[in-house]
Amino acid sequence: MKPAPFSYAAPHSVEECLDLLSRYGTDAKLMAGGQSLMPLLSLRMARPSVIIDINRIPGLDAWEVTGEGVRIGARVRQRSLERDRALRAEIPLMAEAVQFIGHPATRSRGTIVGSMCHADPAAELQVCAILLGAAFRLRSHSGDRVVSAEEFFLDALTTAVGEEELVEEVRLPLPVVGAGYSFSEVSRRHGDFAMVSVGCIVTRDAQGRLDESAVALGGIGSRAQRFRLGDYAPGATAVPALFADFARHVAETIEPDADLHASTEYRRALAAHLVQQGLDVAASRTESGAQ
Amino acid sequence: MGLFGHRQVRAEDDNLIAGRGRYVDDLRFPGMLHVAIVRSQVARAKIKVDVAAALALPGVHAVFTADDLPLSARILPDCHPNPALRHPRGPAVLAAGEVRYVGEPIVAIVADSRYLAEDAADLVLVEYDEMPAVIDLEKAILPGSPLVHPDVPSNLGARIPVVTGNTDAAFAQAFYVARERLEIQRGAGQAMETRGVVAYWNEYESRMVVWNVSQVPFVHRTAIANALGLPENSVQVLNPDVGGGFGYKGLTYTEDLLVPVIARKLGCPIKWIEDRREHLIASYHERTQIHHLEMAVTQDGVILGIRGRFLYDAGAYTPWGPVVPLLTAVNIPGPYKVPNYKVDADIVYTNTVPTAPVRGAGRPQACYVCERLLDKVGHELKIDPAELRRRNLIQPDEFPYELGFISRDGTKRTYDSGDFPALLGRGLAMIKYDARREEQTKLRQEGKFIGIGLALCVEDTGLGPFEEVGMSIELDGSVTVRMGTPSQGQGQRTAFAQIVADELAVPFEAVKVLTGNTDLVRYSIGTFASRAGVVTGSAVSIAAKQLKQRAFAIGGTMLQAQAGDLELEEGCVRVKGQPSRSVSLKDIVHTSLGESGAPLPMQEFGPGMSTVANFCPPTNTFATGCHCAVVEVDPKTCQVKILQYVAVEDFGNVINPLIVDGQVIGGLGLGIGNTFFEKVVYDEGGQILTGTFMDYLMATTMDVPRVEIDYIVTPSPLNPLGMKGAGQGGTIPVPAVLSAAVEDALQPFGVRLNHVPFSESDLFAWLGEARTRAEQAQ
Repeated sequence: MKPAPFSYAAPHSVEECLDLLSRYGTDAKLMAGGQSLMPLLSLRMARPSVIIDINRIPGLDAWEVTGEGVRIGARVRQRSLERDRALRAEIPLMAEAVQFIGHPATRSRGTIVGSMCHADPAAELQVCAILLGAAFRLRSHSGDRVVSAEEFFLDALTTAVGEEELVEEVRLPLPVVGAGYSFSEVSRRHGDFAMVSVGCIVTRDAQGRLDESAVALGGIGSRAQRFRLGDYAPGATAVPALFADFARHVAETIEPDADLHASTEYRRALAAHLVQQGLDVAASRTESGAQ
Repeated sequence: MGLFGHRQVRAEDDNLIAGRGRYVDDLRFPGMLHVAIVRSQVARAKIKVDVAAALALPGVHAVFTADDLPLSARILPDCHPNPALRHPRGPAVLAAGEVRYVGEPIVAIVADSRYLAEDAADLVLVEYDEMPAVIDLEKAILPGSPLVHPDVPSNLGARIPVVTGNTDAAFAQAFYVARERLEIQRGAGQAMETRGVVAYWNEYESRMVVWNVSQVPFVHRTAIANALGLPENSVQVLNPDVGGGFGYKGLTYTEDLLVPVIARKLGCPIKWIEDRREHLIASYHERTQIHHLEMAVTQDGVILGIRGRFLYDAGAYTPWGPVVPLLTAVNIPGPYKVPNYKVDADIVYTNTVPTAPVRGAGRPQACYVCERLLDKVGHELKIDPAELRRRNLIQPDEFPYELGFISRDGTKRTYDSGDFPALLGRGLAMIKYDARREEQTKLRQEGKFIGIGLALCVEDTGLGPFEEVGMSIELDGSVTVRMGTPSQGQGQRTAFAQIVADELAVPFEAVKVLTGNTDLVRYSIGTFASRAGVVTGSAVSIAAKQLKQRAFAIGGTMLQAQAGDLELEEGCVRVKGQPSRSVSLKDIVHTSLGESGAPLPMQEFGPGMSTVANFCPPTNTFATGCHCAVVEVDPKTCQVKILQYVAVEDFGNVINPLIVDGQVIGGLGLGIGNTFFEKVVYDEGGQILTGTFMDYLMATTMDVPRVEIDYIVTPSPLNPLGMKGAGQGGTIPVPAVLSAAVEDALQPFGVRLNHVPFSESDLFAWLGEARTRAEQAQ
């Protein structure tokens, strides 16, 4: 379990990093926290000829709140979601999800953006990004672009990031006023990838309609999937069986894979259970409280 | 007594906790080269190997294939040959022309660093001419199955029957017969430290020095000497700190012989450290057994007999003979009176990693199948599980209790001592059994499902033939203990020092226990099967008593007193009642050693305070235990929460309950892994799907509950201190207990558990099957 030979570069600026990316292209791999990449290197399942370590690039380790939302730099560690009260207050969903990500040691190195770029379909942060409608700012010498989460996550371990692009930051919208959020999952052991994870938002418009309420599920296939309540029951307000019916609908719609740890049928059952329970919890956290 | 039985803090821990432990991978010698192994990627093939490109890589010093090994180092020795195993097959050190499982070693690369060695391993071309393989245990014995060894007529390597009484007659009278197919799947030992070997040729003494992580350094010394064609006195085996053994470090592997062979050939120090991936795919596994068993009972649930057979998955070779299935076969009756018994152990070859003892070693399977059958009897005859067990337990006045068949060690299997009703009674009291039953009924009405599980077990511990101990009192009065059973973390330096401190009335800190060096004693067997405490510990006690007698003899002469009038207190021999007439152990050593150049002063005693003792147990001691658990199962998510776990153990007299508590807690961790998590999975082609800790799951601290431990003590009559082994009792009953508890929790749904380990997803499937059965029945 020793990596194959590779060259190592540690640029000191975004410009220098982009130079390296344009020079090496697909031969290069960016490394932030290394919590996904290092095991792949050690197992020789990834064999990049160049590792570009972004840990010395200034600025990428910051987060800030702007009028549009929260911008989180590529080097912000997952533990910030645990320890930084100001950040937790801006993204309550991710603040709740972080407890399920790996272990204290991995969270202290692993980055928020790095986990999203690794695009493991069972990763909690992908579910959060999909549910909240995150956007990613990608930079390269050929120009900058902003990609929505729906366009960003293409498949298992595959994103829309081009070979010469650096994901500089992820942008998350500010919490919807009055909305309630929840995150829950079932995994074999605490800290393992979820067999199913569910993020929920419950929000009502002025007429009390729940259309913009939604759930996103991870661990159910090649990428996280989002379901909007308004697509299932347009104009619905508080109805006793609504969440249960919606949960059943979601569970019947998804096509989860079977693996060593869980069958398709079990994942479906977990999805139904977690969606219903997650919506109930999120509803209880809305400004108006439970239904 | 003083320190015996005291919760002495371990002498080992300061170093280990502070990061000052020194392990085999910490060894660095000038000019040391590193080995990586190329392993088979297919389950069965004829192979051709081309190493030219690997050898050409700069930094590579040598490449070894089977042909490069001396004839004496081509097949691993069987350390436990047994005539019942008609067709034993030892693993090849390096595969010669054929491979029989994924992970089998084929080529060894020697390079400047492990990195380079692995780069070169990538360049080795192995041409696989694939042949049909058989992975599934039940398919392997079907007619027409591919043969793992074409020179063995069938994959059934042996059938070993264990018999007493007349089962046919017993089953003819049965009121009810419980029948089950019970399956235990493959797991493995996962010590924190993987295996590793460092070897060099000691030019000063003309002998091979091998540092490894062995539980049996003397066995390895013999194997290495034979492989190298050296006399045994030209091989020294050393063990530094070792991070866990789990039994699998008591076996002999390719690298144990290969690394010394390479060191001898290349004339420089050689290191090989197993990585976790190698460990998961290629170190010996255990546990796979499929049982078809029946239990015959009377109307009252009294056991009349057990009969049936089970299949044991040997994997591709038999490195440790038939030890594991034999242990299962003799342990199934456990704490219960089973007058009629006939069980066949079928040992089956498959194209998988060879299997060998892992902590528990066949006994978790035995406990599981017996307790599952009892639970079925209780369910069908509507007898409370605790009451059912009470009716069948061997009673305290029946010891020594003969089971009627021959044990694994060839003696008539006889339990030395125990009190099963007391174990069960204590366990039930600790979980408040009756109150829990009421709570269960109440909670079910609220839609909550708790369940209670219990199981009792026996474990043959402290087996022979002997251990030897050397003991000396040094010139400064400190005591040195030399022994052959190495430590993998059990705390022998602490426990044995406690025995010595008591016998010789010296401070605990004055005793130094040395082990892990084959030069320390003349002969030894090793640390496994819960034997070091019992066998070496007894030898330590005997050696200390011998030194005490010697101190009285020499001290009596010095004090001009009769030995019978003397006492040993605070490191001094004193005349009882006259504390001023006293001589210290230190002065006794000085006086008895004399002065350089002068004749020895007390010729009749010979020089110094040193002795050698050994202990040879007549047969095993039997540790016993009762575990009880309360769990809650959520039928929606199928998650299991352990609400309470109780372990009542009878390890006889315990040297250090703090250390033994640790054994029970750690054992429970493995048991929980064996129940819910630890599973080696092969696909149909023989590829191993659990090659990292992402897929091979172990119980973490989050999964192991606080365990309430209590002890019942029935001293063993078979050794001077009345001890029994404590290394595996924490593991053995856990799958039985937790399966019973989960089944009990889900009793309203009619789920039967006959398979470990099981996941949430498995429980979900079984709930679905039970629901379908219930609907069909309506």
